[in-house]
Amino acid sequence: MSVATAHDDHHDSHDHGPPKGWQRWVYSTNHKDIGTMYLFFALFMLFFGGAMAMYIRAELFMPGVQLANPDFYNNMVTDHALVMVFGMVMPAAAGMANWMIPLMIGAPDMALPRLNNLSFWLLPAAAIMLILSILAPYLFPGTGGPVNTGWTLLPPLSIQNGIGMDFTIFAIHMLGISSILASINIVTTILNMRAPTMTMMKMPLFVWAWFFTALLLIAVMPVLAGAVTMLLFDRHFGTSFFDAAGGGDPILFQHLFWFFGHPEVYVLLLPSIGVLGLVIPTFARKPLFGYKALVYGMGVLAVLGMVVWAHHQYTIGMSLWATNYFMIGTILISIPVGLMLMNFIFTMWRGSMTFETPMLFGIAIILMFSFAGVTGVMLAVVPADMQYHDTMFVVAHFHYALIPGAVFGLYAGVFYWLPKWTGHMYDERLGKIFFWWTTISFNITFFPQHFSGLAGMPRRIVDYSIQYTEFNVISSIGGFLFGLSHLLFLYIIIQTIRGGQKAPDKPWEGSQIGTPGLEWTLPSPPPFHSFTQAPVVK
Amino acid sequence: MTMTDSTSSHACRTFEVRPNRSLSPTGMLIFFLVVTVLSLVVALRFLLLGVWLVLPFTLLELLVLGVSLYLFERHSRYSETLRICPDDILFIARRGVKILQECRFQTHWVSIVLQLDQQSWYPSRLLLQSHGKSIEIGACLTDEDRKAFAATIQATLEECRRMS
Ligand code: HEM
Ligand SMILES: [Cu+2]
Repeated sequence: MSVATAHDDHHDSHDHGPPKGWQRWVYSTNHKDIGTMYLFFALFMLFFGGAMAMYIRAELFMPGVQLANPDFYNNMVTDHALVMVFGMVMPAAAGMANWMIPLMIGAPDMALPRLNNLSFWLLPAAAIMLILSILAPYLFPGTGGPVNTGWTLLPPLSIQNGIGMDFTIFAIHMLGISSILASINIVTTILNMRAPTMTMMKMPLFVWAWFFTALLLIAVMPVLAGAVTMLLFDRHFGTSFFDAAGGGDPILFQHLFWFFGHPEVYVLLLPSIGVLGLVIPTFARKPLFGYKALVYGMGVLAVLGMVVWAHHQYTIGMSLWATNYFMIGTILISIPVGLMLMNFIFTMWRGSMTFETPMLFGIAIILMFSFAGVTGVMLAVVPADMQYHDTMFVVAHFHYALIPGAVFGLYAGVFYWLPKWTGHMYDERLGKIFFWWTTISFNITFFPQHFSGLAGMPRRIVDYSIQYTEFNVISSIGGFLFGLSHLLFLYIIIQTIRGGQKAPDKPWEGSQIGTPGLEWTLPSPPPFHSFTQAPVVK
Repeated sequence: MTMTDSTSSHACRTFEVRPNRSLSPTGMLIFFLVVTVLSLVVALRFLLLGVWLVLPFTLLELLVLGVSLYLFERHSRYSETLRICPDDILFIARRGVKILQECRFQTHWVSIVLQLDQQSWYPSRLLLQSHGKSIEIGACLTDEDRKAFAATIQATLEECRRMS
């Protein structure tokens, strides 16, 4: 026997370094490679979903229907949301999990490397399905119009939709399988592969955040899968789960969707809260205030998040008892949310702060996400929500929740870890310009929507009455600026990958303060150690 | 990873390398049962409402979770034993009690090679080489542990050579 390798397939076998060319990526079982692929996929989808947003804002720039037919507009609204939620935020967060969790907890790789490969490669397949669902009316003429239900896919409209809806349903199935497999992998890794000194209560907040996220996904994804499968049955197999004419109930779908949908918003939020839990102590140079409270807070949030779904459906006419229950439950959610924000503020209190790009995003998140909490409580109050429901006010609320709460957290993570990922420092000056540009243009875009909403402008409409014109002009200008800022983001990323100042192992002075993981102890590239210490010897 | 180092006879040193597992099989079982109960409560509640299509997906998911945990548990029964003596080196890889691979080298001829990937992108590889024969050891370790392990067995090797 000339060469005998005796390794567990925790690593793929390669003779000298990684396999070259496309095989390295297609067959990859390396957590860093897969993490990188997730992140690039998310970046691509950011621009894809962003392009749809630009179309929406262009259409709404002026009253009247200018650019396309209303069905196409509604299709863009639908797919913008699906792409951003399932194609951008979740993969980006999963990419960060893949990259960082093994490094943070001292594991050689993810627990199930081949499963990891599968959960990534389902994503491009799902993206192709989604693109087909948009193109279906043109590729297969006569099979019905575009998917125009909004991301909530409510019947009866979703049952009447054309063949594009079937592609959407398949896409959602694949996305769901992908996130379940990723969740199983992440949970197994966190539970089983921590280094001996890394106890649960020492884990970096990001790891905890992903632990709860993964559990939430495991809990609710089958419900979404069931719901869209029932849609499929209603469409093609003569059932009438959601068809009143056949004895079914369209409201039932809303319950199923939001039973998944509300926990889903915490799936989007929690990883970014985890990033905050690293960024804030690093740049405040103070340990995280109330680490345990934050962990328990996230746990409470996850549990409460599963039992308040019907606050999206106050207007459907639930019983008084149910309405009250969902109202009180929803308002209670502001307690763990407030607790988490307070902990971050106390972490900064009297810290010796510096304001690098990740920290700027961190502070902006605290300020603007609080705002979403306030509008959230307004929406939670039933009599008020009767007015606000399905207006632009809701659009403003959830964009304040999701852009600072999820997307900016991801940006903070990108800037925080770019030096670790690429070995190069990004251009701090450009990072700061990007921060101010996005933050200001984000507010120009979405702040006016509170007012157009309160004044009564409905959401998901292609045309509006002229009294809302000014608000929409401002919103659209802000939107274009926001979109444009991402070209700078792309430029910074490419520039950092291609070169730049060499990053030290520990690019941030304060990165070991707080709840540090083991990631910053890893040199890059690793020097050869001579005999320094014996391995852990019992 | 876990490494145990015991001096089996006065001249030999034995190292045992196992992948590190922070949760016991019992812990894993409890975790699986908790997730199962919670998921089934949700699925059965929907079943009672006539939404029977949630249950198959829940069962499928639990199946994948269970199989994943099982396969992972099976993997963690892997272990490598390396005995370095003045005359020879014995390497045995096992899964449970089953021997997967057994190799013997002469202490004087063996060399220890730590292959590093230039970008530190892929994990390093630790090889025992002699007479065109090469085996990888310690693949289940983290990079730092592997480096430390390499240094330790290198030192042990030199000591043994001096002794003979
Ligand atoms: C204090 C915390 C929060 C409260 C009390 C709250 C409350 C609400 C309520 C009552 C609605 C329904 C409004 C309506 O349709 O009439 C809503 C919608 C929404 N919220 Fe929140 N929310 C909170 C935090 C969040 C967070 C953290 C996120 C995401 C990160 C989020 C994302 C959304 C989204 C996406 C919608 C709209 C879904 C749709 O109709 O398409 N919210 N929120
Ligand atoms: Cu909600």
